[in-house]
Amino acid sequence: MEFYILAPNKKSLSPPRPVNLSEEELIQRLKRRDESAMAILYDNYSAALYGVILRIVRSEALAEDVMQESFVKIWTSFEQYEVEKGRLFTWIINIARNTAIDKIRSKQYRVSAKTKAIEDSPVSNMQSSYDVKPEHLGLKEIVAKLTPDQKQIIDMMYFDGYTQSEVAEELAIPLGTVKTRCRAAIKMLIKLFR
Amino acid sequence: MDIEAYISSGILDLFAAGALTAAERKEVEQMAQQYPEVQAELDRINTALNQYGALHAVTPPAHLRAKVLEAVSVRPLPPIVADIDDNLNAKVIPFRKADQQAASTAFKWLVAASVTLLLISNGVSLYFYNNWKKTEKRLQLAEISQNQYAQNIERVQQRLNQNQQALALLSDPAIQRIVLKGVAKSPASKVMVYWHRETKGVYLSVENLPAPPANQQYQLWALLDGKPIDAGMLNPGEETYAVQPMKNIAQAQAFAITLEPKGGSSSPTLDQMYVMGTI
Repeated sequence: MEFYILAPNKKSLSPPRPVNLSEEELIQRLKRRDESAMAILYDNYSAALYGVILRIVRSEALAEDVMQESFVKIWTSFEQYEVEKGRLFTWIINIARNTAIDKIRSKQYRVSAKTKAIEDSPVSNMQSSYDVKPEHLGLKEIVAKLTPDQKQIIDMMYFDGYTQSEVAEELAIPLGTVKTRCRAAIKMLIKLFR
Repeated sequence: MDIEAYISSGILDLFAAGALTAAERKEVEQMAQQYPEVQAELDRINTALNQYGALHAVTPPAHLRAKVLEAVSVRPLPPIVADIDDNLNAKVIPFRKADQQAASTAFKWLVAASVTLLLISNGVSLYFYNNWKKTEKRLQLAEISQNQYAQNIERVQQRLNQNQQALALLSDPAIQRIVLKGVAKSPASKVMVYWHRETKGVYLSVENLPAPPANQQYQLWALLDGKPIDAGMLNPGEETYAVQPMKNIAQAQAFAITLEPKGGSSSPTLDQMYVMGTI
């Protein structure tokens, strides 16, 4: 097994290296309030979190703010994380998503969005597709396996923070259809990632 | 609860995608806690969704790492609350000490309270025991005096009955009253004899007679043509004025009482005659 010891100077600008550390050990260190564990967490998950945040807020400046807020939240409320309730990645990505969604739903964002004359709803924004230049080569293949309906519904919920009734209203479909479509999309994702 | 139906309803998918309201989320969390199958399916869904999210991964700008970690390190740390996994954590110890101190103080108070209660209880027990003893003694005395009263009442009742009999007897028109007066030996003596002419019953009531010696007893005699007939012994215990029944006498001209040896004699001892009366 390979370990990379972090340099004592955390603020060094040396390029981050991924640290090979088991999830349990990382959780233990975070519970013990070991600050160096936060650097490992950042190196391991920052790309995934940043990608999701950027996809939600669609602004690099805003995404940086949300990243910072999210990591502070993870750090200060880590004792609320319970291993039995799910994976660490699920917990931190939910914090990042919620922080980002709160941001786009806040008045501040709407005002600034309006001044930029982007009157479109998030759904029509999505169609215009913010260019996030995904680094993962698999995205296109995966997306190709989902129907446009399925992808749309997952993205509205996962990236845009729509509730099921908001989705039903926006797409003018019954609540039951929202449920079954969401279920089918996720079943497909489970199958694809197996 | 049909778990399969619950899972395939799509509610877990909405939960993982963040499309539920707070109340709906709570319900799902409770279900996941209660049924391991629900939790397992939820884990699968979350993993798939976040893998999908991670497909959108974008490397953040290099300067962001220092900025984020700086923001984290200036955060004042909230105190660590009871870390069960790490017993070596020194910060936990004071809490336990305080707990133990509080517990031992509480224990001391508890012991003091127990001892006090025991002493009070003993005192109260002694008090009630003494009261009980006193009451028992008084009850015995009361029972004794009650018996005495009962005996008295019985005696009075008896006397009353006798008097009623005597009254009935004396008021009967067929009764003849004969006064036996004291003779030379005892002039103050006086005895009444009542003789029923139809039933031939004889009754006697002593008004005054000297107490007989222990081995002697008075005997009543009926005299017919100069011959004495035994009419029975006088009851020595009988009270003055009490009317006592004697033997029936068919015919008589006089009655007399003599002092005889206990149990009586077949013929009277004439020098021991105390009273006499003729009809």
